[in-house]
Amino acid sequence: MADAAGEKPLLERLASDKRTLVIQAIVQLAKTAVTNDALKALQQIADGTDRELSFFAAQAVSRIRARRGDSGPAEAAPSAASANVAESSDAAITRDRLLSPRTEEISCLLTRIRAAPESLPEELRPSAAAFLGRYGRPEDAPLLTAWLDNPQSGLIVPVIEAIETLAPHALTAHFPSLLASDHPIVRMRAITALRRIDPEEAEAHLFELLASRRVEERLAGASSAFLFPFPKVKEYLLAILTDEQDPEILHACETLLASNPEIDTALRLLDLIDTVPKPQAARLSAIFKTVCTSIAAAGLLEPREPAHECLIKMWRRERLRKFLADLEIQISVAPAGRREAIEEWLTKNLQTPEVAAFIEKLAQNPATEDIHRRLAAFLPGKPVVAPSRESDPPRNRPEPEKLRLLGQLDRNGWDQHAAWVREEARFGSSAVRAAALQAMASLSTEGEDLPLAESALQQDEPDVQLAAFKLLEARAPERILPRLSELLASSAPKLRGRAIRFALKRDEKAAIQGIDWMLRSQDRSLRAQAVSCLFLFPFERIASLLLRTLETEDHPAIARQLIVILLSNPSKEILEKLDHIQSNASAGVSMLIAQGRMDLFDILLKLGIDVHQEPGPEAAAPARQASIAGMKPAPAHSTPVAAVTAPPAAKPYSVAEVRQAIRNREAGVKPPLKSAPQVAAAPSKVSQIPFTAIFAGVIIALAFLPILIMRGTPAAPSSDEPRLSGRSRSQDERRAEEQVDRLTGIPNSFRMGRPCRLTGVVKSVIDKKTFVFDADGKAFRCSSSGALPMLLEGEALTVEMLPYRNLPSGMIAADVSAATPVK
Amino acid sequence: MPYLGGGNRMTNSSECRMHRDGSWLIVTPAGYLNDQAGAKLNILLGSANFDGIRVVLFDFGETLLVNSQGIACLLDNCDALVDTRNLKVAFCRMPALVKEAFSLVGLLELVSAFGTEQEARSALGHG
Repeated sequence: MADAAGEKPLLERLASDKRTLVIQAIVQLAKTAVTNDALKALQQIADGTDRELSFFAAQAVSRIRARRGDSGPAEAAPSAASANVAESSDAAITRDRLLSPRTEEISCLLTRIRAAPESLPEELRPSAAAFLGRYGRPEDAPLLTAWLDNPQSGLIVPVIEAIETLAPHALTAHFPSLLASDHPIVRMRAITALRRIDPEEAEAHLFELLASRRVEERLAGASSAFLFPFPKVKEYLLAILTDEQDPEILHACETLLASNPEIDTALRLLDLIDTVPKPQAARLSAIFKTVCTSIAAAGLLEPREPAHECLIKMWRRERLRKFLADLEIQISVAPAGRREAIEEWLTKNLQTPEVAAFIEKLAQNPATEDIHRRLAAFLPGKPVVAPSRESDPPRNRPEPEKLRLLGQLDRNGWDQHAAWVREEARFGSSAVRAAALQAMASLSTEGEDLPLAESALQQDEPDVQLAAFKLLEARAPERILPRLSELLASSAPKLRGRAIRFALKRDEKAAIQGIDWMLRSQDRSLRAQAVSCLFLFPFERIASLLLRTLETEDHPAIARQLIVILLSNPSKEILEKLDHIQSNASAGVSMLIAQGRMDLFDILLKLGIDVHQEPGPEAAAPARQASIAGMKPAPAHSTPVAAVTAPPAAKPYSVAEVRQAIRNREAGVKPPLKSAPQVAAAPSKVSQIPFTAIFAGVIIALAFLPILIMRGTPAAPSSDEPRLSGRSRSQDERRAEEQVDRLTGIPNSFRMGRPCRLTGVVKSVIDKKTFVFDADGKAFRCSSSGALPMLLEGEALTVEMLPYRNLPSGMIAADVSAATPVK
Repeated sequence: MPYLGGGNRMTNSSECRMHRDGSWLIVTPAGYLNDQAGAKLNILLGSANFDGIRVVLFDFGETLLVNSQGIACLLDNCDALVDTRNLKVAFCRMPALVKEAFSLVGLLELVSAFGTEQEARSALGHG
């Protein structure tokens, strides 16, 4: 039972402008309040004109009085009342009598309500429902279901509660309208009731509520999340914490996470804190501290030092490498705010050897090299560059001076420095060569530059290639063609973007093939690069590619980019297809897809597009298998609807059905008749391509084919193989393994997808950074991003590695972080 | 709805306006910047007189959405303005989704992005 201090925040919440919060506070006070202040505040609301709040407050007052043993208004004269039951049976039925009935009048009230339920005034129904919930029988359920006529009013909550108590299955027919209610409290209560008869579907509805764009719905979801299995709920809470700013929702998440203290939760909060913008990081830090306190209280850590310090050390020891690998993807696709936060974190942690090595690695990725450029100068052990002298000839000046000069070069400057510029274009550093070629592209007209640009296009330096591309595109585009397929698959976004735009004008099919190959890659950074180029393609040509990728994508940052493209090209057909997408890859992605659906629907509404859809058999069938994430399984898009023989009846309360009901309501459309199902064949847009264009396309594609095949059969298959559509291991399994990690450090036995330390023999050395290693009866294709000690075939080694994939050759691809010869 | 500026239902229409202010050319695409609006933008910029212009500012304050064709059109125009005409190109007042899309496609690396026109003028110099 709460004391006065515990009541204070609840009483403060009574003044909130969030209705969900006010009702929750009233319900909470009903359970715990004891003071006169609480009674007074609740009585004021009970006497107010808001029927909904008035009922809940009156109910709370009666409960508190009963708990305190006070005499309520209906019990003002218990002795007189007990002396004359007959009199009380004729007395008017009032709210107070129903909420706080005297023992002797219960049966009389039951008889009167059952005899003529329709004669009960509408305003008394909630109280009567509460009364029947306490004293009624399952046979009263039909009487109560007749009062579920207005799902948009919170006053049916006690009716739902009563039916749930007496006969939960009686709600089945009413769940669709209750779950589609515009009132978060009604929706929340319906989900809670659904839990009794279909827990899986209830979870799906809960997660849909948590993904909502409406604060009160998320708040309702967070409040009822307590009733669901924590491991699943946790994934969704962590997913919404990335962006959530509402203090009440954050508080609800904090309470839930801290009530289920787990070290994994704290470590994953630390993952988030370092990648979100500063204000959000501050909010998450507060939650992290609360979770730490509860971890310490639960005795999950040794009490030698403060829990948060211990967890931060643990994070650095065990999660930093994995975090950094993920950070590279985040940098590639993150919006500006998040990128700044990441850069700031990297700056703060420059002195950490792993971070310093990571920053060096960023130079190799064109999408991240700008961050490397900004931070490299601050790396430990970097020499200070000597200042330049004005009198020095350009070729003797330091690189920044050369770059400045090349950037400022005008026609007069060109005449003076042309020879030097060409020299730099051949022999300068990567940045200087790029700047020199750029200057040549805009200032030179001489033919002798073209072979130089062609040669630069073949270099493995994206900036140089880009500058050469621009030069050739402007002056001799035909010279780009032999290299085009290779450029389309380039890992440098700017170069690839340019190549895509060029290719789209000449050979759209080859361009799409190139991007398709990248999107199928197992390598997340390659997928991230591909996604950034998708926008440049005609949307109708890549829509199915995009949806397919979204379905299997497991990285939320990449999934978000895919969704941004879908949202920017809104149509009813895309919304329908998005409805069929089911992601089992990660809770974060599922959450993003659910939000994407809602956003797309809103955009279509704002564009004035008719979004009414009648649920047909093809919508109903997948709904039957609704996952925990509430997504409909994606049917094979190529399977004609007619081919689906006798689909079993869908659950009327499935997420898909309810989602459509909500949409139809929001679009101001009456719900369709269930008896008139339609086969909603999605209109397929078949573009009319002239024969000559097809013929030209075939010829160009044949010309590109050998190069495409070469690109499609990479020497290092570790990163380029098509991903499997299914996930062999569940998230829970992986989490369980992570917990083992934290308790034991890096284990000495092989585990896929987790760091391990194995001792074995070098079977063969492929190059400076790659070797084949035999250990534990398995062959590993090991690659390292940094330098390895000189290795010899047959040499015994202890290797710290992250095995991450089974290769078709039977070997296991592994990322090596350390290799030590065994003496 | 966090992404679209106005709360009212809009139509699928779009328009594009342009005005000159000293050495600044202010372009205001309004509504849904798709292929049709992109074509209008091409015509508008194709007919513009760039004499004395130093900065081209795209004000997206009235833009609700930019689709793939709209982005392709913007990229082409920005490339031409930066590479061919040596002009500074700036964007301001981008709605959240539009900014996210521009960021994804790398368009923001090509131009300077600002919250408002005033911020752009403070940073790039009044004109």
